[in-house]
Amino acid sequence: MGQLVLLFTSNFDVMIRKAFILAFLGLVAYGVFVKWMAPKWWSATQNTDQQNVTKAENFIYDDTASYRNVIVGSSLSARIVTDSLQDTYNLAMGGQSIYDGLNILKHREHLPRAVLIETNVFMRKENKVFTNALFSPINYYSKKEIPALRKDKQPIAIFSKIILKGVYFSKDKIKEVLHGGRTSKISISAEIKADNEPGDLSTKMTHDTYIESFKLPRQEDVVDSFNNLKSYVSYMQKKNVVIVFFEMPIDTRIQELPLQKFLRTKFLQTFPKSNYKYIPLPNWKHCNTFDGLHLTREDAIKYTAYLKGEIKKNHCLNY
Amino acid sequence: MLFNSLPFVILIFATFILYYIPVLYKFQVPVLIIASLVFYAYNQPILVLLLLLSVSINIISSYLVVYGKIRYRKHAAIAGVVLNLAILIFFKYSALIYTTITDGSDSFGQFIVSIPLPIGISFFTFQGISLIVDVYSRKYVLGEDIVPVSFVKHAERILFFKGFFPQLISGPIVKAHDFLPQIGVKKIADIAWEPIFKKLVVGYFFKMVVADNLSNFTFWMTNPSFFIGSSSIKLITLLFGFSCQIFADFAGYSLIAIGLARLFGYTFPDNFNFPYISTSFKDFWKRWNISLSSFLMEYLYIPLGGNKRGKLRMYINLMIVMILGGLWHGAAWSYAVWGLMHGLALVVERMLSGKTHRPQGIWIITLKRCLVFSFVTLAWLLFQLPKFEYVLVYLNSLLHNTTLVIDPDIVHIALYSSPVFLYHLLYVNRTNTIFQTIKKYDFVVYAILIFCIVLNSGPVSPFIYFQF
Repeated sequence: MGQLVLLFTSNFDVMIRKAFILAFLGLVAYGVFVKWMAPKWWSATQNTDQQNVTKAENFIYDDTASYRNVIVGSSLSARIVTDSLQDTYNLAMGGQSIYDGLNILKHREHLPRAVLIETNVFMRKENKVFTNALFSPINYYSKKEIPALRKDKQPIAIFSKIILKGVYFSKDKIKEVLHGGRTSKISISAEIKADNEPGDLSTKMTHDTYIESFKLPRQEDVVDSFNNLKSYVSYMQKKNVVIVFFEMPIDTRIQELPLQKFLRTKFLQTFPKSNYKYIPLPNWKHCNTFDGLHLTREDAIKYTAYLKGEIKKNHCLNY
Repeated sequence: MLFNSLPFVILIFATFILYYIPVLYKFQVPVLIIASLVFYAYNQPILVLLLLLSVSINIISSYLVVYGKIRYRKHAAIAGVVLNLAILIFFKYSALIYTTITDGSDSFGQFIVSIPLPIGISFFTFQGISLIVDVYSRKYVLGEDIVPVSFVKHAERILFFKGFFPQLISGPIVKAHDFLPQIGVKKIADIAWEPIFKKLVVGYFFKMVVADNLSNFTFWMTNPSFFIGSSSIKLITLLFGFSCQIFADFAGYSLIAIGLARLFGYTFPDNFNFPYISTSFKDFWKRWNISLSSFLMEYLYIPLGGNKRGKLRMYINLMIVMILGGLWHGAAWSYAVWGLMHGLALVVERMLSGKTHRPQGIWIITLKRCLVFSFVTLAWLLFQLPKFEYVLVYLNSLLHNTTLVIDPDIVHIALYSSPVFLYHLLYVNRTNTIFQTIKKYDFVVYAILIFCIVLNSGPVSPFIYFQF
């Protein structure tokens, strides 16, 4: 064992010690800055993974917030714009399932008044790696006490955000000079939106979704999924949480295909309308999506307005 | 078990302590064997049986080659190599072969497709082949020098050689004649901490900060629906981003493996030598995955005749080696095409070499570097998109979606790729005074890297080369 002690004494290089000490000082300085001095905008996400983790972390560590309603679901309902939905937190995450949102809720001491559960992407399994990482003791407590360790505080992501601000600012300035003061200010989101407007690509993707919608899931998987959901629902109900099911509008040509019909029927059998609340599908003749499933931003805003109206109709969800 | 996971850190810590306790010196090799088996069995314990089968074949055949009856030594060597290859072909290539011959929809086809690919099989199979060829050919070392008379001792050494965890699943491919002579008692006082520290910090930085963060963006390249609608500039950025990711991922892995091996007193050869500054394709293959290149050179290209049997034969040999090298990476024809592309590049380069003898200025060298890097990057597309039709659609979109859109992902990818460029750039300018100043304060650089590892790591993901 004596030789092991050497590791931290003479045998251990000075350069290594200097590097560790400097790194430690840097980490402490950043930790202090983020906890007590950072401006509100000191937060950035760059991709779906970071958005999901940030969404979950903001929900988990914000003890002061008491949301009346929480939405759980997949990337379909992640498109709901909660800015206009007061007291509602959208815990739906891209690439994740309803169970991930429900699992996060289960870890929280104060539950919301109502949980809105998306029914579209029902067969996707729980991502245990995702939730285990959020609630592993080391991760949970270190991120709770040291916000600098949270996903949205990553320095490179924030640096990247600052660069982007600079790029868009310069772009506007150049346009201003070129067009003699008449600028057409395009925001970052507008740029992205322009890039993502449905086109030829949308047709192909919608076709793929159309084909997939004729395939029904295996019976045993369906039973497993409903059993899993039932256990979450009963847990929530015991805590006096109102459960509300809702189906995100998708391409109207796909909405009535076997898979969607099958899931709808199974939901109504397992959670009958007499005992559970359902928000009906909006009566839209046409629905704009990228791939048959995901609403365009415009239609997502439209659906948010519809959802707001429906929530208002239900007294228990009202704010 | 991933190098960047908590269970691995615990395993390393426990192994390190046991390994260097003086009273346990004589058990150092068994300690590392147990740690390696735990490491390999962590996710799929059943696959340890396959590893043990492969090791057993090599123990028996190499022992028979050295100590068996002289007239049977060749047979033992051939049987050993054939059995090694048979295991590799069965687990890795049977599905590809069967689905190429038939449509693979029958029950046998379904069975073949469902056979799991044991992690690291390509690496430990090649190491096994190197052992048998080394002891048979006596080219680098005498068989008796690396195969002890005691069969039990030999079995222990070979199990250690093939199973040693830093190189077990993704290399570097360590050759028998390089590794076996190193086996012996190791002492903590002999550890050179600084190079180990540097390799581990740079390796983890490349993996966790560069590669894992880039993977969040390049992941979308596999989705045709995504790239059909993306702008050319974004697709080009993604392609170069993937090029940086695959380097950071594999070079990062290799650095960690080399650092860990040194922690236990074993030296592995360097696997990367700044490959993206290569001025020719020949140069590239001397800098990228060096252990594989040298394996293919020693155990395939030279036995095929190398460049000793005329130019045409040399070109054919080059093509064979590169196509097989491509297929070694993955059981899909796109990997063979990737090898073919590199093979053709090498052949064309050889054909043109020696035609001009003008001295080359910095601009010519830079242009050559850019050309080689761009070609290599373009070829990586076959790695990321193993379906040909996707590759074609990607290239078509790249050529036609020329609308100029400022996309935040371009900035993100450029930022995460920049350490790879900087790493190469600093090496190119290593004689420059700026580099010398940086070197003087290298602890600051390593402190920044540690800072980034702690605060800016991407999602934990397996190493790309695990699948090979």
